[in-house]
Amino acid sequence: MKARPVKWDDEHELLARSRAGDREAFSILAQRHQHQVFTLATRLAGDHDLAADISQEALLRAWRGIGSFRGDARFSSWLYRITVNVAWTQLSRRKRTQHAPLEVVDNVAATPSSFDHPELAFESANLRGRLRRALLRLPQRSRVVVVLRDVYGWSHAQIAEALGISVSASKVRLHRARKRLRTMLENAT
Amino acid sequence: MRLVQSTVCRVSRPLVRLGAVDQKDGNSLVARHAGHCLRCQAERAIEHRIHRTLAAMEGNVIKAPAGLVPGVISSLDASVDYPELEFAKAGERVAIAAAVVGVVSVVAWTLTRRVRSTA
Ligand SMILES: [Zn+2]
Repeated sequence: MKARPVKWDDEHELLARSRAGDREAFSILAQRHQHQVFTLATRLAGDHDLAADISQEALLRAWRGIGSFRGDARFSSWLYRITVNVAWTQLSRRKRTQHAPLEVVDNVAATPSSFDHPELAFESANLRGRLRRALLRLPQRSRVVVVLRDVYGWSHAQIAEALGISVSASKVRLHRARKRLRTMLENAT
Repeated sequence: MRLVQSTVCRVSRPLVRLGAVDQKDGNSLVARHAGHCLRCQAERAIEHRIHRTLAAMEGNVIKAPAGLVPGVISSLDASVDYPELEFAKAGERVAIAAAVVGVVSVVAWTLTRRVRSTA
């Protein structure tokens, strides 16, 4: 009897093989999702080196825990939750308040000060770069909530579960962070 | 995106507070006020623009460093690291085997003692 050919483009098959301990199958899954994981980690951490550490740890945890992935959620969503969890733990461990290097994520050229021209702060062309910079200046734990809610569209219940905080804590943190972002945008230089 | 107090004009701040208490009445009063208040409309436009810009960031994918996945896979190869389920199964088998050995040795020991005491 001929062995059934492996369908490397079939995520279900890759998952089944990974669960059985097939590293090659897991490697393909990891390659397929690595950029999304790294993007999320970079947005949460605001730092490329730290994001690389977080992504590596998240993929390792995914390998170790793949037996518990039942397939009722999408694999990418499951991987995202692990990434958020790892990022939150690493950021809490570091508890650094220093600002991440701005040029890492933000390649937008310097824009004129909005101090003299407040309307400039909210022009579309300016806004993206300013927002990215403002996000990086937020305290790390506030940034995590804004990124998950406003960039990735998570519900407060999802955020609360992933970070191990209450729903109301998530709401309060988001409210304060948005206010802070807004002030930063208005006063950005 | 729900309006927060800081993003509406002075006139509508008490309405927003009311909205926090009685969402239906409060929100409809805010909406009616904002319908003809240019300050509130400008604020809303700004808030929406910020929200849209943040949401659009999800689509901007940042490329992972080339060594990320090879690094993960090589660290899997370096360690005898199996998915937890497989590991748990192996652990269960070891535990069952140990329990069987334990029961057998207790029975054997009891039988031996009985045989000796009756002899
Ligand atoms: Zn108004």
